[in-house]
Amino acid sequence: MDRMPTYAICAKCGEYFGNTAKVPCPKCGSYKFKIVFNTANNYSGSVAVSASNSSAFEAISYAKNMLSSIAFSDPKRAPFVEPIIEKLDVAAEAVKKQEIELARSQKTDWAEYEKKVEEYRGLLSKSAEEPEFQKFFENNPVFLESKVKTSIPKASLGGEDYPDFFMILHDSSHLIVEIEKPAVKLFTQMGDPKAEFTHAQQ
Amino acid sequence: MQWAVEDKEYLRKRGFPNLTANNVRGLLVIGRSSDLSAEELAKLEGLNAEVRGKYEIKTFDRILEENEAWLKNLKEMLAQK
Repeated sequence: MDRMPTYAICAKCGEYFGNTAKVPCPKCGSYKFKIVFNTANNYSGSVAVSASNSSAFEAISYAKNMLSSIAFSDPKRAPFVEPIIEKLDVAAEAVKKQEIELARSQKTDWAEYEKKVEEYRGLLSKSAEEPEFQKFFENNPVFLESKVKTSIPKASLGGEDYPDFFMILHDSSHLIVEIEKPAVKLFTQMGDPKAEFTHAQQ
Repeated sequence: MQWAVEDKEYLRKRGFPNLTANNVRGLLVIGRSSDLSAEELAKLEGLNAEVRGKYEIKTFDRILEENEAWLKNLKEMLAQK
């Protein structure tokens, strides 16, 4: 996943510059700048692990990389930056331990979880229909969202007019889930979203 | 997904008083990645980028990929201890 910034904006003169490793600002020489992330690059279609379990560690790694590049590009600043990098190393270790403990508490029965993954794979292999997937997700909401605390199925919400699941997550946010047909084609031959796909989004 | 915006009052009455426009997002699970060409997959990613923060569209295969990766990563983390 690409998490590098796209560009930086100088806080003094407003100059945009692409390579943030090249501090200071190439126009005015200021060291104060704001990093702007390329959100399109941050989005990944193949995020492997839930962000909730990797973001703290990634953020620390990113900060370390930034500080290292500052120390590299400006050796005068290295004595100030290096102690911070060392402290970040300690923080990274602590976060990693926490993540391991979280992993242990969330999914303790690995063999059972593997069986569930196998069961889901089986549903895909036999081209199961929507109701079978709905039943599976009802019993295993963590497959849809690893932060799920409570999952309420459509029937408990009020019936057909409601989405398939309403979830309350551990971070107190909410997720509304709609399960559609696996066999549906998403795009027309012209490459436009098909009506069924567009309807599902609404 | 539109439902999330339209019927918040109903959910508040059912005991979800913390529900606001900022802490609700949607997930639409639809279609198979194997039925999509590379171009269509890219289009789907583009669409997801457009609606990011509001809702996300995932294929059924993507759900499997995520869970396989989740299992693999956590196993590796536990093995490191």
